[in-house]
Amino acid sequence: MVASSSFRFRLESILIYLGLGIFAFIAVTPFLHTIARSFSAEAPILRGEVYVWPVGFSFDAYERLVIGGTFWLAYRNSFIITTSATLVQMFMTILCAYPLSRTYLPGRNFFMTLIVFQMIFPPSLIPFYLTVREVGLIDSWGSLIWPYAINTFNMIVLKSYFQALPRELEESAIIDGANDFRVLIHIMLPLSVPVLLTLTLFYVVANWNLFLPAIFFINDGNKQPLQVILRDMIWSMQLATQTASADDFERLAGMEALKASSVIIAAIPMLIAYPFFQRYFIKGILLGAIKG
Amino acid sequence: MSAQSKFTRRQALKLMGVGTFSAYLAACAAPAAPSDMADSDMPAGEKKKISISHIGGGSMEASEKSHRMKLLRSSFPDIEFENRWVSYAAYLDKIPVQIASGDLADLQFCNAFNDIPLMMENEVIIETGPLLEQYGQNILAVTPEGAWASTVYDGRQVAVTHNIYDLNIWTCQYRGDWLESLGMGIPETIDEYGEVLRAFSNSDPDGNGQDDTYGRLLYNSVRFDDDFFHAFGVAVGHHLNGFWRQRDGRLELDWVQPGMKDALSWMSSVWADGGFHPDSISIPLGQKDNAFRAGIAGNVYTAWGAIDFAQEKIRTVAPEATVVAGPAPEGPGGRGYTGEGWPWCFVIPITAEHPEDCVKVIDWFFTPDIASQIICEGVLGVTNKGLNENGWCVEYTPAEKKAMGDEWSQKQNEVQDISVFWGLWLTIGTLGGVQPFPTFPPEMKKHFEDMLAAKYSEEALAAQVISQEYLKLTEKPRPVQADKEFWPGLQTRFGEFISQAVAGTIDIDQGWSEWLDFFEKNGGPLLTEQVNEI
Repeated sequence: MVASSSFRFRLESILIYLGLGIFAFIAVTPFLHTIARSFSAEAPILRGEVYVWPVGFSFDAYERLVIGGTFWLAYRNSFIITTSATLVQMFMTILCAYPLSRTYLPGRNFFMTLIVFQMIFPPSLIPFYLTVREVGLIDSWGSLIWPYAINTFNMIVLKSYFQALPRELEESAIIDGANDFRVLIHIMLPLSVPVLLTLTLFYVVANWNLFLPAIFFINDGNKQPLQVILRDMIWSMQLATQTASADDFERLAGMEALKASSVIIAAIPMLIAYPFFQRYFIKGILLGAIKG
Repeated sequence: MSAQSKFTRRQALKLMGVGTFSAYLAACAAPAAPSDMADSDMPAGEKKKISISHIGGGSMEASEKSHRMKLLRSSFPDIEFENRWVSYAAYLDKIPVQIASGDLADLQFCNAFNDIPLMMENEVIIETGPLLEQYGQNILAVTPEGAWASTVYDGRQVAVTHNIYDLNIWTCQYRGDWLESLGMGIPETIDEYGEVLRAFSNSDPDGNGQDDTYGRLLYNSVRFDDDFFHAFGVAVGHHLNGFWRQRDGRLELDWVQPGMKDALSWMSSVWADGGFHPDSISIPLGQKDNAFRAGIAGNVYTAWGAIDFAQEKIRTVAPEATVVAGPAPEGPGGRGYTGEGWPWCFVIPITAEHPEDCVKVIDWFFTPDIASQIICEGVLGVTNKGLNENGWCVEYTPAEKKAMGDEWSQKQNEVQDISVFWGLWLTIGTLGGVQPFPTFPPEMKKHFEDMLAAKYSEEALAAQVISQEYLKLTEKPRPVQADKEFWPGLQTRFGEFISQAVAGTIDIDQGWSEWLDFFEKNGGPLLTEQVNEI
């Protein structure tokens, strides 16, 4: 009997690991393929000979990406935009979520209705663009930060999390003389680290991958984030290969590897950030989602 | 509690109503009218302001470093230019928003086929015909007449200039060494063409003993392969843009002509014999030449200007490779290569305060003295030789570039941001084959003709001649009203049909009947009627 249940347990484990392994393989293979392409010579890529291991190993694509000012400028821009926007967004999200989590807030339902309304019916692009233009944000990083200062979904997640915290903690602090700000900073926030880190991760990823708003609102190429610059680079090279003469050969060789390496380089900061946030990630999401 | 909640909801609804209505009004507001202030009313010493949107240079900063921007600023000291550089990638997403919001530059770069219909609908651009007559004589003198047709609405010209390079550049190119090894010549007829493609796929043309070659890689789900279709008297139109021609005194769309079914059947038979690369149905347009350049496909339909580049690339894997261009294959419906015309242009929005100056500025670019400084490839004095004693730019020849070795690569890297795609002002001999202007004085013209002759191999220049010889252009000059409602649906349905037909996943007879039925019921007749009314 014991042997039978042990066998069943082992069989179940094997099947689970096998299933998860297949899933992991499906998820990881495209990424490995991209890495392999980024380190491969062009001819094997074009001939379809590269799978998950580089063929004709070469660092050329990475060298070409990082040589020259544009790439580092773009990286710097993305870093500044991501950092500033995430700080603003977390600040605003907390300031909005906490009061709305308090049932005694006058007009709470009204504010929630307004917020949910815009979540269901987001502004269309043209009025949005006109508004950004009228407040003078075109061609400034502000246009990528202020209009996106709060994400409704994230705010509702945080509000739910605050609501789920025991009311007694807040009451005891108030009895001890704490005001709302003190309760928020010294009681609520320290207890909400998992969800705060999770939301930070959401915001960081969204800001790092920022693309269309930058296309619409930023004209100055020196202010564009990394994603836009990388796409410009690839487009320029693709167009150039149409017009190229033979002496452009060296300059335009290796475009496929360049595309792959740009994907990898753009993903590196997120790859570094995820492990630090990971242990809070699932916990934060689950806790915030328990109560609506 | 309930009273407070009721009041709050009502108030919320009221606020939402007012907010929505305000947003609606803001979105519908007409763009600001141009200032009535005439040039003479400008306060003394104050500069006029003109914004120029253009594609060129890898960034705004790089664009400012270009010779043409420096020259522009120094030649018009009374004008303050706002450089609204935009990357090509950004342009594609941005222009619809700019049109809808009226936020256009005084000289707005755009696509005549895609953007101007929207601009006309939104009434955001001005008529330019009279201004061109008065201030644009240099533009008119060098622009091919056919270029203007796409921007005439109700008899009024709305573009200030068109690109003078055209996209009538397509040719069939073959691996000459493969043809030789198989004992075949450049195909003249569609049947010979089919045999060549089959042989490239199945007869081991590279002699390596492996089944690793293909005849050709079709582009973007058969949306770019008109050399086949013209042999049957029809064309898809590059980018699936449609192709119209006169039939019995009426303009008819090629997509519903019997020749289309014949062309698809022919291609399907080549597909079944393995003549096409299996990625053909899914490969994006940007990778259209890859299989050819990688040395695994023996035929490509592409721009003549890239022939030398392709040969160099193939030689990295096949050192003896040669690339040769051939004529359009002849079939029961004739033969031809599709040209794409002159899609790019500048327009002036109604918000421009100095439309006359806008035309003068563009016209200045087309004067021989200025054009002869900026028409060369590369950056003045860095990746070209600079100006000669006559003030005309001089390019390095391919041999000179080769002799420079690493130094040439360094020079290119140094200015790579400045020298990328130039939009309207593509340099001489590139993509669309800008030719020396007819307005150039004889000596100047010869200078540039000699330069062009030294720039490409004999094979490439022969390919250029071929591309012009078999050129065919759609006879529909511009979009019509019904396009907006019906064309996207027709494009999608037809695109699905042809890719399925070629790959053999549907019965062509049945698919053809269904497609014709779809065309009849989804705006096809109305579209045809409106095209014939232009």
